Amino acid sequence: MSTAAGSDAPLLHVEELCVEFTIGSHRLRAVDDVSFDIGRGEIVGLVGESASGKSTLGLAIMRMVPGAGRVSAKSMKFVDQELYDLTAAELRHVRGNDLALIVQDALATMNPVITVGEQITQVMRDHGEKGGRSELRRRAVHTFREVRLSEPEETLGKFPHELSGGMQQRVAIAQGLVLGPLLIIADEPTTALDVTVQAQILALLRGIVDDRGTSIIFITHDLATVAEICDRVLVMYAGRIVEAGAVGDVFADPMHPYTRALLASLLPLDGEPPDVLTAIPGQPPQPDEWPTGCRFRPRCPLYQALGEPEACRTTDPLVDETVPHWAACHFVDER
Amino acid sequence: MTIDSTDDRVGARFQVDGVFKQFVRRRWPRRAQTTVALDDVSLSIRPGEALGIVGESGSGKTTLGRMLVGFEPASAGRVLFAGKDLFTMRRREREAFRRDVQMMFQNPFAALNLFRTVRDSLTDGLRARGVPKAARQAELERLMEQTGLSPKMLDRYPHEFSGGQRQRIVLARSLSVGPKVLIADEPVSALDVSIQAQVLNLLNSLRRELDLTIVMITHDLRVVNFFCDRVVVMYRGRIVEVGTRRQIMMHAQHPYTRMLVSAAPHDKPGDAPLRPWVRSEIDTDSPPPASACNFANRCWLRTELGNPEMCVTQRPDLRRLEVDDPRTVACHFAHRTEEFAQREQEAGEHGHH
Repeated sequence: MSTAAGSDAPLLHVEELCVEFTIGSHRLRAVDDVSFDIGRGEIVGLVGESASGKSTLGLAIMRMVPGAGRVSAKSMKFVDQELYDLTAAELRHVRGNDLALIVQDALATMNPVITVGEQITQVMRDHGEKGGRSELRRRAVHTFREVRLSEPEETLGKFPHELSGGMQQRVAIAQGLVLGPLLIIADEPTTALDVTVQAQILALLRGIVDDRGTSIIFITHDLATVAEICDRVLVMYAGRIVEAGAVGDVFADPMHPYTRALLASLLPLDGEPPDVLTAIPGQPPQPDEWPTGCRFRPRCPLYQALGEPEACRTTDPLVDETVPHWAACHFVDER
Repeated sequence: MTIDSTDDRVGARFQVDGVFKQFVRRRWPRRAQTTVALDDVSLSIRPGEALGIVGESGSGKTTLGRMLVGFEPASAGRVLFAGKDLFTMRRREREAFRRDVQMMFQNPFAALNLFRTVRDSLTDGLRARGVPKAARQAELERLMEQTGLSPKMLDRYPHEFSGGQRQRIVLARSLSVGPKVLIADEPVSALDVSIQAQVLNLLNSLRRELDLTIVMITHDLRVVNFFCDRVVVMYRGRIVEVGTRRQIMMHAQHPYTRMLVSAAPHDKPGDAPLRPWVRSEIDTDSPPPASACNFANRCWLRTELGNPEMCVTQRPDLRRLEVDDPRTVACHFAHRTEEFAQREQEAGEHGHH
């Protein structure tokens, strides 16, 4: 397993990223002051519940936050350029060539009236790839083979709806992969798939990272898939990253009460099940109802156990984000 | 098909006997296409049990669930509830059946009428059960509290609730008629992880409290492992294995069940399980073969055994492997699964390093 621990310059450096949506007179902050690095050749899981901001964060990196959203950041450096300083033409080059996005609903990203072969060659042509018809076709077949489509030549001539869900996702991955991106943002890429297909797609993504040295930001709500393929994990809650670390460390010793609670509510797959599951009371808050101080406070078992300390109500937990494993909690040592 | 577990039938809540279900899709100008959703399915559901029905998309699990509540008539075969055929019941019997059997859906946003308050939705059920007007308020409050909702929320509309709360409302509405059986189709799949645990705990405690029989239709083996006593595994319209939770999760004898269980993502980092068996995808386009095993084209065990002829010429019956063990398996070579599973696992481990 390759990790980026050795290389010093990160592939992606994100510093104090905020994404705000203005709806009427409301201003909602979906992502609030988030900083992290992504190294080369690693899979970083971005895990959170609904309204945690994880998908918006993915879109912000792609510079694809929809109209009403405003993105601000101290720095969003990809390789050696600031993403938000790029001109439209430069951005077009970076997207697709260096940055790729894979989403949950692969079918929705495809044109229903042209064959998948035409779509993937169009991607190459749009990005100025040289070569005639047969050369581009050869590359398409090669990529289809790489994503283990069983009959690559035949698949080229098919329309998206003629493919099964697993094949559609493989084609979508192939389209993302064909220009050799450095970073793939995969937003719940296996959530809509059957488990036997999910297992194959996860193995495929891991293989791509190990063979090509590509990096992946793997956005998911499912901790089990994080354990399965990620090297590091960022846990998001209410627009913020509350814990970050190597997957092994976070699972073995979760520092934030939210991470602990999430892990505890993961249903066991083998052995005797518990009588009662450890559930987190309440529900994840929406951006317009984020509590002051620590945002997990109203649901936090530690806050209750410690007799509702004032710090949790009044101040944001500060963190040292330079250490490999950290959590945004005032009482990390009380765990 | 014959099932020799006659003992199951005594006092069964549901008895499903050789049920077929076909859907015909007409797409002019093409020829009509027939999809076989259920292909000779037999099963009994015992009072008080939590039965899991698992399978991937296209397995027929949802169709079976819909048939149990009477939404979907069988193309052939019978479904009996408390000994009475669902589709030839008299009106009185049907009314009683509808009180006795309730359904809970995956999407709580679609299952509630947006223009009716919680009180409206729940009162229907109380009326159907014949609760006198004077007793209704108390009963409504009891239902709300039972499902973890505040009685203060009775006059609110569905849009004012979160997904988890809506699923509680759906549950309260089901309980308002005083059912004996709850058919739950993916009841927690649409919910956040932290909310899933709440709803599953609630279902579990209600099950004990009210002595409910619960049929849990799901693709999620973690839910099955937590919730179910007994598990039915389906593949392309057929039941391929029935056993206790422990038998299915730890010692499955059908090669498909093995594949399914091994495919579920693990939660132990750095210890990604090897999955030498997981390959290809369920084929939902072509009809399942009439006189063959419908898993044969994906079956790892068949490959291991050198592709025996039998798998593609004879349909395996759901049968017991041992006389005194009620588990049933539909595989000609189920007695060899364990041995080859271990061998595959070891081979996989060598290949991995």
